[in-house]
Amino acid sequence: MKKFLSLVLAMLLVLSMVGGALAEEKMTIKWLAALAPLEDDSWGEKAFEETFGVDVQIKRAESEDERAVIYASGDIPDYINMGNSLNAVANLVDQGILRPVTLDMIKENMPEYYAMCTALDPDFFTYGMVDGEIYAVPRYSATSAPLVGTIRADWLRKLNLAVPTTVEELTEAFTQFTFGDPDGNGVDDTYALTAGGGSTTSDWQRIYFPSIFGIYNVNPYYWTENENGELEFGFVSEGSRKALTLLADWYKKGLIDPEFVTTELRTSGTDVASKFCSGKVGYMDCLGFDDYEWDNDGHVSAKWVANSPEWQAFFSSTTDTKVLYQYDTTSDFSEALEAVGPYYINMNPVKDEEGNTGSYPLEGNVGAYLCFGATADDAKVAKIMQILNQEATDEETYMLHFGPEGIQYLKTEDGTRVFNPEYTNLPEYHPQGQILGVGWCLYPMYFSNPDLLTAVAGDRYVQRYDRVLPMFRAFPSFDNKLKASLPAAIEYPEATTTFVSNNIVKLVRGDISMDDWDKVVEDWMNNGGRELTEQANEWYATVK
Amino acid sequence: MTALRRKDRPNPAMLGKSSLRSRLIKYRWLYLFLVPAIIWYIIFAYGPIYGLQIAFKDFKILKGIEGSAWVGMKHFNKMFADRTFIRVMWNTVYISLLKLVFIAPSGLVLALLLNEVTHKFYRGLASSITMLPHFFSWVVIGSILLEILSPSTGMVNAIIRFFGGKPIYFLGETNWFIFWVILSDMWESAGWNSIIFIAAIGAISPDLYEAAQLDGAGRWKQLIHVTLPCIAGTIVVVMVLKVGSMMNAGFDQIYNMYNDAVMSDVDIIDTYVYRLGIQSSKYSYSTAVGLFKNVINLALVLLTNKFSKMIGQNGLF
Repeated sequence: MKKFLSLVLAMLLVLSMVGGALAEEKMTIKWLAALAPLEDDSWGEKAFEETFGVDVQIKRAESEDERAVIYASGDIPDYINMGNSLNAVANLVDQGILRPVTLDMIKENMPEYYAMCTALDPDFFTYGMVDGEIYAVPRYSATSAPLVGTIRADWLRKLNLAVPTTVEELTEAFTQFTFGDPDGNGVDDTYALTAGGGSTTSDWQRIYFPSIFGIYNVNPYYWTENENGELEFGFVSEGSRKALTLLADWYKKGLIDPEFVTTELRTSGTDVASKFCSGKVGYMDCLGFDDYEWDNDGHVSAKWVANSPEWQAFFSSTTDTKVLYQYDTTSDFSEALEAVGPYYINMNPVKDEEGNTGSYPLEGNVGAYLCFGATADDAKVAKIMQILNQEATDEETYMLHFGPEGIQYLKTEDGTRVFNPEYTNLPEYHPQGQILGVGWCLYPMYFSNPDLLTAVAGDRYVQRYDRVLPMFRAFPSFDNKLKASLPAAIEYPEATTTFVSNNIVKLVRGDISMDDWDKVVEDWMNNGGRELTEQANEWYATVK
Repeated sequence: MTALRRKDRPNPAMLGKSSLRSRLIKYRWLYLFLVPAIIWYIIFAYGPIYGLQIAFKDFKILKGIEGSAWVGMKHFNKMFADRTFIRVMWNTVYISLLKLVFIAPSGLVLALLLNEVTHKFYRGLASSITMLPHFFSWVVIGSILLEILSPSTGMVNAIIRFFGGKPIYFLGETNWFIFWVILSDMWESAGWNSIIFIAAIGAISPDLYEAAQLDGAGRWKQLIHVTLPCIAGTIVVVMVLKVGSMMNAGFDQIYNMYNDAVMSDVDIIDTYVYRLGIQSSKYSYSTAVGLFKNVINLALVLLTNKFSKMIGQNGLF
């Protein structure tokens, strides 16, 4: 009996050791992405585990609140996609939730990705720094482009106006748009422009008239360099003062849709693009390049087609993609587009009153900050980095973002991948791929590699990435000069966000007179602005 | 007969003398009904009190409540130096006072009106319909209001235009905004608030009305001399509770309705704390603000309770 018992015990011991060894073999990664698959064990999750030889445990949070709950529970994810706010990263660093990594770790585990990014932007890996340490691997955004002013060509034609090139011509066009009955219905029911003030978004730079501030080469939410070579916050700069003076004047004349405060930036049926496409306003500037191309799918394009019988006829006339996706966006009058129907012009920035050329705000080249939980050890961080590197630079792995062949994309006879036109009718269809568990759920390196933008090609994507994107990138543009998170930004979170938006609205509407501009600047300085400016310049001195 | 009935009833004076145990056994089923409520209070009201200490600490999630360092009154000092906080505090008091004046009595008025409806089916229907909005989420009401109040496409302004008026940007002007905050809150809550008054009115003995009718009192006189005095105790309790939530001006409502044009005038403590606490992870600071708010609320409850006793009513305790 004793012998038998010891035999059993010995066997148990061996078994448990084998079991332990097996369990050790597969590393478990807790994964908090921008989106999560709707259910566990999706196709995307299995493909991920198989490709990288790890166990992935998906964390789900649909809002910042739910993310906070995950952190507060102490069960900190190993991989955390922080979106595109470095201040949000700094907040978590302050809370002790994230761990730093070294440049050597990145070089060692992501050699191809490191080489690719630094070739495009030598400083790229310094953009994820907080308090002098790297807390994030920035995801390169190969599709970053400026926010461009877009004007209705049909209205310009109707009113016999040229495409505006100066602020005076723009004001004239806007006056005509408002009072010259551009839609020819005999009723005074149009405005020149509106804005998406009704949205809560982290893309603050998009909300209020970015192209109008752009005339003076500033964005109220971006830091800019002033004539003394110092960093200055956009909202309190001289450029903003000029832009706001112009906007307040336009508002007083009735050119700006008074509902710009509550109009949605994109989603609703009365958002900025809807107002633009249905002819309530004649100018807009708050969306990205891929909203405009003539494919009946971009956010503006689709709404435009929905409002135009001519374009609907065009898009239903054929299924030949060579014909459907033949048109380029344009920065001047275009006979080709005119032949189809009414169209819009993505115009060049206009010159200001003194003849200086304007430019458009560029949405920086960091698509997202990919971070590591404080409880992840070096081995785990190394593994995650290798995964991200492979997703970004290996074409086959990159393609996992789209799911299996035959669903979202097909292969043509010559081997090029094209999108499956029937995809939206399949049971696996989900706009964000959350049923298959692909897309941003587990494959965050989409759009990071310029060479792979047309990995799924076909005429529509050649139109979007090979023709429209370069055109948008060619517009003169400027970027946010501040590439670091400031401690004061954590201390005064509202100074660079709500304070700015509240005051822009009040100044444009005349609730605060432009005569009181100095008081507004002083108010900003007293509410954290002084500290922010000081720290921004301390940082600037270290990189200049 | 009356004497016998009194004997059956548990006499409050006697309760103290019989042992807790025998009372628990005797009224076990009644006490059982209390259990869920007690559990709720322990988990959601008393448990979190432990976490209030982070108002005096520099709370870091990873270090936990225990491990975070004590910083004394740092967050409170910062709060009183924070000009935004001072502003949102006054906004809160202002909106709360308006709500106290206009919304608290709306439930009472609705209950009195419903009480005058004699047709039973119609009364039930009316009280159900008025109660229904209480179950709507403010996210939904907020977006409905945005649509119907729009100066270009909204229903309300269509009516104004029909009668030859000029459209008004209701949500873009502070005073109009607050007007709609009050009106929509009244619409949302009057039916729900009326329940307690309807119950109190229902408990009034019909004998009193009969006697009043014999004395020749009309409906108005009955209302003034019978209904109101009989439910005065209830009214006072409800008022004490309302005053006690003075520092809560309605987070869900304001958060779903405000915009950049009116924000500086209608931003309340709760919306400010939400933006700081959840959106910017300033847990300690927002806990300090919340604690301050609750201390004020408690003081107000004690004060009004004392006041109600001074004017001869029972109050809460």
